[in-house]
Amino acid sequence: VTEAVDGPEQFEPDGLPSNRLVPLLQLLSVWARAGTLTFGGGSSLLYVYTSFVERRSWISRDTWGEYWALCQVTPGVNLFALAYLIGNRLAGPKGALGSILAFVAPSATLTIAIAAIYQELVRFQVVQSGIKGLVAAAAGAVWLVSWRMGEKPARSSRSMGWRTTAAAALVVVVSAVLVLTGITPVFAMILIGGAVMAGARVVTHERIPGA
Amino acid sequence: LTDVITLFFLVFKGSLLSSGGQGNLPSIHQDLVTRGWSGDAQFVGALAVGQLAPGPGGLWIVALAYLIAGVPGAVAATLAVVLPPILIFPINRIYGRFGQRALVQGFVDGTLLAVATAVPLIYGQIMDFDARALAIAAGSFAALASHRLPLFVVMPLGATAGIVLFG
Repeated sequence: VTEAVDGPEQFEPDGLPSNRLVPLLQLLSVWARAGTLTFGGGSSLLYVYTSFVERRSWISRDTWGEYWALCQVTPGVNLFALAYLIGNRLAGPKGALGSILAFVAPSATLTIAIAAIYQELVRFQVVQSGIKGLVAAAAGAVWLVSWRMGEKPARSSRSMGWRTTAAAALVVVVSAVLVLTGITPVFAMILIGGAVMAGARVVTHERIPGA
Repeated sequence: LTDVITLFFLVFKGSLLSSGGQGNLPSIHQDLVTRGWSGDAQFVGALAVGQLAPGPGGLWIVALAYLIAGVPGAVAATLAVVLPPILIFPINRIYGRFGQRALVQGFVDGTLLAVATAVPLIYGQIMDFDARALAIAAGSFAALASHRLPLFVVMPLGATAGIVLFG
């Protein structure tokens, strides 16, 4: 395996070179397998982590943690953001483009194929019942994911005092009312949530001496 | 063609202002239902196809776009969900410099809270939960939260329960 190096090797605290490049085809094959051999975001993420961090040591644990934290604040599917970032890190811009294509193209094609099959079979009652059960189970998973998504900001708001706690509660209630009544566009609801919490943080921040 | 372009922008907008595979669901649901392009049954079908298809969870919208507008719609939706995460590159630079500022942290927290509130509620709207669906959802939540069963076991169990309970 020939590994090109982008300038003199630089090392991270845990000893892995932080600017080593890897062969493009090997990179793409990891993403292609992540897109076709896994089901659901959780198992895709685990596959990607195992492949890049544990099995190949192409990405250090520290870098992974840093990348994943960034993906949380990036719009859209976290794993797509991760594909761009890891692809770029390991093989430059063509690695970023190649990674997202290798990840998404096969799974999107399979999604279309399954949607076409669904369209044919949906007239059968048994299929409809199975689909209803499947989506109900998915709803359970979504509750859990949403709970975890909301848990961290809720906790950090509570640790900042009553003003941010009240603001967080306000955002939850107002968001619920807005989305159920549909009186504002959803993107406005999200922006309002962001603005309220940003305001609360700034106010709280300024009043705590030395914070 | 104009419909496919509109679909692209609606999905793009929903994905640009949300996070995670289904964070764009509330926005897309609102836009497509008010336009009369899609109904709740189609959303349920698309979410199910999204669960059945391999790969990351965010491709349910590709299934929905296919059901609405065929392969051109599906391609447009794929592009629309793949583009917003490119913002990770500028965010990487900006976050390194301003990420610790209260304003930025607060804004991110607020958007996460709003999305985390909206997504489960939209699921409730499209599913019109009865006792049976609620029981399946609660069972799935409990199994996953306690790490007793992985997702790829819970989903087929849910489908089987659906066939048994709904007939």
